[in-house]
Amino acid sequence: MATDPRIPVRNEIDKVLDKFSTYETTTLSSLDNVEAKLKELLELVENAMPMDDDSSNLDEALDSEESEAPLLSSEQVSNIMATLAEVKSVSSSVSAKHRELHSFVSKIGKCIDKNFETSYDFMTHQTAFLRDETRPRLYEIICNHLCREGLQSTADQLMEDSNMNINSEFMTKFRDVNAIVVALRNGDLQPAMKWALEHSEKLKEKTSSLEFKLHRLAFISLVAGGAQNVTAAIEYARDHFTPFIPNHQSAIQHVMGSLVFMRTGLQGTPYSGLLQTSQWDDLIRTFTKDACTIMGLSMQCPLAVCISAGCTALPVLLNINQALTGSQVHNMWSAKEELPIEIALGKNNYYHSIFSCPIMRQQSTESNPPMRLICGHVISKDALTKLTNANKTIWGWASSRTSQKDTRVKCPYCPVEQTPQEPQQIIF
Amino acid sequence: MDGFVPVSENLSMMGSHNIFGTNSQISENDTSSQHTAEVDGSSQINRCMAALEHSTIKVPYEVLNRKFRTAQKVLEREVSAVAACTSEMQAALSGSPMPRPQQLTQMIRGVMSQVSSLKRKAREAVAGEVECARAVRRRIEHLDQAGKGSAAARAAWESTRIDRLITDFLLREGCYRTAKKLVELRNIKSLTNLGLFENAYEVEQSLERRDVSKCLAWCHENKTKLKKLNSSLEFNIRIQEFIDMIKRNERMSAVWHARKYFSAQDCKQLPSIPQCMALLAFPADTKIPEYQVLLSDSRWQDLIQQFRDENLRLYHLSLQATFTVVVQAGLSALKTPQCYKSNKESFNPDCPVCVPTLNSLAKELPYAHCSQSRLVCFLSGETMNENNLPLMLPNGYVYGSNALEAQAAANNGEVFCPRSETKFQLSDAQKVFVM
Repeated sequence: MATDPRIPVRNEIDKVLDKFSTYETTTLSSLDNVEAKLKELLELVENAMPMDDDSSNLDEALDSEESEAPLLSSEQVSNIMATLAEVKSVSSSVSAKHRELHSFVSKIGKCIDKNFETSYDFMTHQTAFLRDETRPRLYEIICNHLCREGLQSTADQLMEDSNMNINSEFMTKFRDVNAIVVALRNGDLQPAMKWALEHSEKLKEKTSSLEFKLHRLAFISLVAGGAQNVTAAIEYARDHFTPFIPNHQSAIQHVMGSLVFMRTGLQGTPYSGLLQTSQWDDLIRTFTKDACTIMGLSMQCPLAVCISAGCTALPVLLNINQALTGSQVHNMWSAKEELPIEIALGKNNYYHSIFSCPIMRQQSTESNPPMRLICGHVISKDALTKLTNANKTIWGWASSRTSQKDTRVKCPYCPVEQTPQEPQQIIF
Repeated sequence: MDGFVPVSENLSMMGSHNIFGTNSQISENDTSSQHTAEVDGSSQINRCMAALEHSTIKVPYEVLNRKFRTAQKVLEREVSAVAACTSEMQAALSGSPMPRPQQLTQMIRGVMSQVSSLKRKAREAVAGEVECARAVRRRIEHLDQAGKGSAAARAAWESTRIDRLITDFLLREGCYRTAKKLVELRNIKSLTNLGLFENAYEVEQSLERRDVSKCLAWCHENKTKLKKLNSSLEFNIRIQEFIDMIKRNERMSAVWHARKYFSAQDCKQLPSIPQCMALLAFPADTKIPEYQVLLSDSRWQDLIQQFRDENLRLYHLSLQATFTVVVQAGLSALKTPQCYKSNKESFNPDCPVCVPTLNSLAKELPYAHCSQSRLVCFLSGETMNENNLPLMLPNGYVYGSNALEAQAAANNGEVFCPRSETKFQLSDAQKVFVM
């Protein structure tokens, strides 16, 4: 069980905040005392001054100075000296106490470094991932991601900043899609309708409900408009709902029922759900999904999927890297090989079949494909070759006359035997 | 992990059942460890935090640390000012003759004003420090929200994480304006290190314009820290100035410049000085490669890169952006040999590694490790297992029985293999057993 790295850091921060508030209430407040004492002192001296003495008359004061007896008694002087000494010590404590706080502040830093990963050195063994040839591709991926998120202007800025003219087909395609999504967010169905009409053939092929959902929302907007729209709504339904009867009969029945409540409004009726903004969110989702499939793009943003997988994988890799340090396997991050450990990404992130040979414990490759034995069991080609050769060496001494044709391979899982030529290469 | 090597080697020694026995044991161990990793959600989040979020909190901490140091300096200056005027007054009082009352009041007022200035500055400093400490705390509080709340809240947090990672990457790449735009649109300023890079962006821009003044000012500002890091940035800038003088054919002033600045450098830089000085002897369009390098414009790009690195080191940030590290790890975890089949027949538009741009980025990364076969039906994307048996068509292509049976039911027992574009009878399909 990994401990929560956030807790110790938060504790250190709270300790520092606490220390600062104590510093403020005690040390800094002691300055208030000192100030008050200085004020008293000032009053004392001012009171001791002759009342009739005109301070502006400097010359007179100078003349009279030496003749007069000291204004302050020696007791008062020592009093002043004591206060001054206090001023000195209190003020120097202001900086001294502040300096003491440093150890608490720097503890936060140490705590952060101790609990969080400070560097990703293990990934640098190999040729840098980010270099002049690869950089534009990474930028393109980011641009595409920004477009998908509806941040077209940020994507444009990135192209300007990076001096890269990423002329990806994707961005032009997505520009249109985004414009439609923005319109839908503003409650404008027209651009989406136009798009759906243009692609209606393909949409039908995919049995998409997009067109129906668009018309349904247009109808609902009419219904929500109030009683004066009754005829318009009925006409709209007549004009547009008929082609959808085979696939959406019950939904059409439901939505037509809302006509009953047009006068009073749909609020509080079984049809209030039709007015919810979630209907629009659902439409936007359906539209984006259909637009992506028709354009041959993934529904989810590939970068987002990749980052999410990376967030799962990185801790595991760092962990194993730590375990491997000092052992012979020092370069786990190198080309052509596999990661040293399996990373469970969850079923939704498996996009391809992987055949791992149950005998060799190796993933199949183009040169080492899976082979189906006649009994149906699958092993890798390498395993099959090894089994064939092993049989040859075992039986070779017994009958040297056994020709290659007669070599039989027994399935490792069942008693079925076959010639090495019989198994068939399969493709998952 | 220790599964691959020994088994094949012992193949000839052991009976086949024996081999199978050892294998199944290994795979059991594998799956059980995965299982615990999947179940323990909070543990996973903790690991994820530790792996990814160092710079998220370290940067505001460094800001706090700097604030503390400047505050300490300010306080010391103020305190010594107080001490100076009190000492002056003490001296006056103990001396003779006694100071005149006007002088005394003046002195007291002087001390009072110094004390109140100290008080004001100290309060300001502490308020600033507390604000910085709170900024660190706010980041932690944001991290605490990870994996909490409704599915929508969790998705929003993860989407913010992507924004944060991209912002950090863009800032490191010098795309300050893009980062700023993203941060403003997503309203995540308090979660990103935009402020830290603002000044850096200005320095980079000035270097881009061949102006070193801002960079030198920055070097001066961070003199002690750069010295601690053994930075050669300032020296390289001085060399660049020297080179530019040579390019302008101001060789005499270049010598003066060298005398003034090169001698002040650490002895570590000594070896590069002679080469530089030799430039004096060559024309600016020399054909000797060693000197062409010094004179080329790419040296400016190197300076910008060095500045970027030093700026990161100053804040103890890893030189690699978390973004690229995460993308690499993710690509690797998703990468299968199927994504790189020469005939592209397994292309899956939903698979990130199959997307052309990411595909070429991932080319040099390791494949995901997979000790247990996992089969996904090409037609439906469903897992193939005992509920969805894999069936082999006569041409060797394998699909899930669910998808094939559905096709056969709709087409009089006929099924279509999209990868070879051929039709078969479902009755010709054969079962496939994968252990």
